[in-house]
Amino acid sequence: MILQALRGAFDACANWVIGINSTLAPYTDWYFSRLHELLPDPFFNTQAFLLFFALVFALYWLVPRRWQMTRIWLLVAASFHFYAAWSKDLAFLVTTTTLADYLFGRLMGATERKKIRFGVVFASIAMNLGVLCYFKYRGFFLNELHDSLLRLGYDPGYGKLDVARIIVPFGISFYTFEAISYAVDVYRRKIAAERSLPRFLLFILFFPHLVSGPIVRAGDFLRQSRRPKRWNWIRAQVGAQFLLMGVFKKMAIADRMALFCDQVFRNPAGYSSEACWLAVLAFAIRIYCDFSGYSDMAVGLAHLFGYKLTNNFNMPYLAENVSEFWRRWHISLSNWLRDYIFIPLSGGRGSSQLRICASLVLTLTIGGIWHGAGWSYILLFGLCFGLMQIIHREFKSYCTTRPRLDAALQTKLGTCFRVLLTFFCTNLCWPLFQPDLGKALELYGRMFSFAAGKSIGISEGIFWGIVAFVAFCHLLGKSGLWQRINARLPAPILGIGCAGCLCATMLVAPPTGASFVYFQF
Amino acid sequence: MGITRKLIRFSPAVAVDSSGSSRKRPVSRRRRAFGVVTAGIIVYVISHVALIAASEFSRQLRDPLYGTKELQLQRLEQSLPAGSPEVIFLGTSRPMCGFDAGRTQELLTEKIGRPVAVYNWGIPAAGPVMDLIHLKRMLRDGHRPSLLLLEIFPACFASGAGESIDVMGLDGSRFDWSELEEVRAYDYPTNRLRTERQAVLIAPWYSLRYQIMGKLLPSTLPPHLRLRNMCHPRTDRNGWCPTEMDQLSEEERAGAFSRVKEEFRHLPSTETLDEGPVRALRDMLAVANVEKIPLSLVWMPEEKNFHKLYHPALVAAFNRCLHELAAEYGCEIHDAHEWMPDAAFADGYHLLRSGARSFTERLARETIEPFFHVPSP
Repeated sequence: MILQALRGAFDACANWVIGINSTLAPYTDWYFSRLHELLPDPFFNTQAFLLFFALVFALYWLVPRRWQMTRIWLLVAASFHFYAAWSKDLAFLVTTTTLADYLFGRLMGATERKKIRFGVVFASIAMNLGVLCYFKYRGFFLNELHDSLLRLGYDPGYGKLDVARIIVPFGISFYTFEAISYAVDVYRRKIAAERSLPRFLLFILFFPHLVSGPIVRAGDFLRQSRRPKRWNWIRAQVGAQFLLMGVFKKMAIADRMALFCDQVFRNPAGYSSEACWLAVLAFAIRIYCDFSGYSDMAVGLAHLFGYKLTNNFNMPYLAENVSEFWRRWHISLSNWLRDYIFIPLSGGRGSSQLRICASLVLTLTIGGIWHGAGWSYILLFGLCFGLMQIIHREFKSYCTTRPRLDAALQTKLGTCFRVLLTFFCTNLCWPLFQPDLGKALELYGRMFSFAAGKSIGISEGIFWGIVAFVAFCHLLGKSGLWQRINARLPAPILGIGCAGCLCATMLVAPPTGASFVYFQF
Repeated sequence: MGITRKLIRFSPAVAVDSSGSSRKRPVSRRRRAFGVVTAGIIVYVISHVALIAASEFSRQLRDPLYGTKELQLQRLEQSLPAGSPEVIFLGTSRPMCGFDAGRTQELLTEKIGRPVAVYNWGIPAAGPVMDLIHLKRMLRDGHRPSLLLLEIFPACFASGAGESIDVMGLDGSRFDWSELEEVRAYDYPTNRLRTERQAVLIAPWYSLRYQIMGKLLPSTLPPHLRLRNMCHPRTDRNGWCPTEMDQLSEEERAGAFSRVKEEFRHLPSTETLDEGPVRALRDMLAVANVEKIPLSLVWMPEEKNFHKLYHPALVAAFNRCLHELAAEYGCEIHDAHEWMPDAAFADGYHLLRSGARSFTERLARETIEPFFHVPSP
């Protein structure tokens, strides 16, 4: 009876929503289709987005500083439109789940009873993960179940889903984790439940980080949202430079490297071993510049509105070991996994080695699943990176009993060797960073079989030039030389350099601009 | 103040000395930041406006292929005495590879006894519409050929369901504003071309990047964009750009032809001519008539297998159309499509170097020399 009543209530709600939707549909369809024409893609490096941003930026700073909530509502509305331009239904979905998370938070904040608070946080996590699994993982799991049942001789009772036809909301993995971190932090009383709905909506929907991170923490962002924003030239310079750096990394480097690696990754058969190895190196640079470029753009855009997002990358290819690599690569995700999965699982310091190693592998497997519904992601993160981390931990303890070896590895040459080895090991894992495990294994086969075949067919001079340039920039950043030069350059020279960099970025952008790799997550 | 200090820690422009403390006062840092942002914006706006202005006034910047060809033609004219007759061959990559204008110039100069300029104006994928545009530009730029040879390629008149080969990959930034209106009459996708042309005003560095990079670093462009944006380095002073190889194995020839078959897969099912290119051809003949420029239509050589790609009805309609126009405008038709053996081709419709020499000598003998009243042997 209770279930029937619940079902009746759900049906009534659904019918009510459908009724409203069908009444408003002609108007909303026209509005959102026009919006889609104006802003077809949620990419930062398009003319349409620049116009959108310019409009929002101008309106934001024209609003007087004392009208703080007006500014917040403006950003919320802009962020909603940014998402709705791509898909209005999914924009409403994101907004609805955000609203639900807000109510869950308020409910937790309103009661001190542990059981109720636990129930509410459980419901919040279940709702967020449920939505995530429905859109992102149901195809994979149902198809795997289908194949498994067939192999066991049973009739699954349903046909295989066409995974390519399932629309995954942009950024669902990112904002789901943000929502879960908020719920858990409120439950643990690390932060108070946010009372202001527009601030909470902004925390999830803020368009710079909405579709591809970084994954922000509620405490940090909500604290910033309460502070009135004043125009600050230093912040404007920082924001503009981050934006410029991101655009350069994406358009001049990542898209150019995509020309080298995409053709080989799509169809490794027929390419020589040398071409495959070059493609893997190109992919390593591509994915780094693509993702860090996007993150830089997000950070830069947020700065221009007076918000600081966490830096998501810290020259990961200069890491001396795999553990350090994960402290430098996609820092917001690594920190999230550490704080909400690894530490609770491992039990903190003092736990047994076995438990820590198992927690490490499980955490990284979850990280792999977060990236994509595919065995290649699970293998890459769970098995490969997890095993590498365990090997590193064991080797590190071994070195503590071998002081001469440890000292040799700490020298400049030893450090160089460790950096190159880490880079090589992470490069070896990148072929798995694609949904098709078969293609990845085929690529490995070509790489290690010394096979003859066609070359990449694009100027290798440009390829090695870009590799050298990226390596040079890393060394410049690591040595601190760039910071010292930057600080001493006269302002006009720095400004002219930035303008020149922007022009150069647009000049060298290749014919086909590839989409952001991490948008698929 | 606290926010500023925190920001500086994460700023790419950090004023930090070796002790880790910032040296400059906050007011001067704000002033410096203001200077950086405004200098950057001003310089970018100036460069943006300067490039737009340069592109509006310089066709060489927007359409470097035409610009380079025109410059070559100018230099050729200047190298000969004023008033020397001039022969220009307009067409696609087929005459570009297949017509040795320099050799023709030598032969004619020898036989006529006075200098003659012969220039190969073959441009990849230039169909009748682009030929018309180029002819009008040439006339405006002061070049008046004594004899105009115009390549006619049936594939340019038969797009089937898709875009014709001269429209595919065509960039609107190459056109003048007035030309965009002109091409509307020939069923060109004017909206797309106009959008691309307008993009030059909004983002000139991005819209003109192929043209600029074609000059600065051509290796950054893929081959099909290099063809559209620059003269190949093998192009000689008379505009001839021969193929790199002079001999092909049967396997290489078969491979090249299979790629060509894929490129022209619509041809076997296309029975009718497109009206737009036919109108462009008619208008071109009309312009030549008005300017009193003798014009000869030339059907370039083709391999037998390539010729078989055409639907018979298309060939019949094409021949009918050509003869009607030739009769109306009093121009000659030189059907050279069967002139060369199959071994002379690289891919079925582009001549190899040796094939180009043979074709050129025959074309000069049968088409150009009679115009200059050179008696046949």
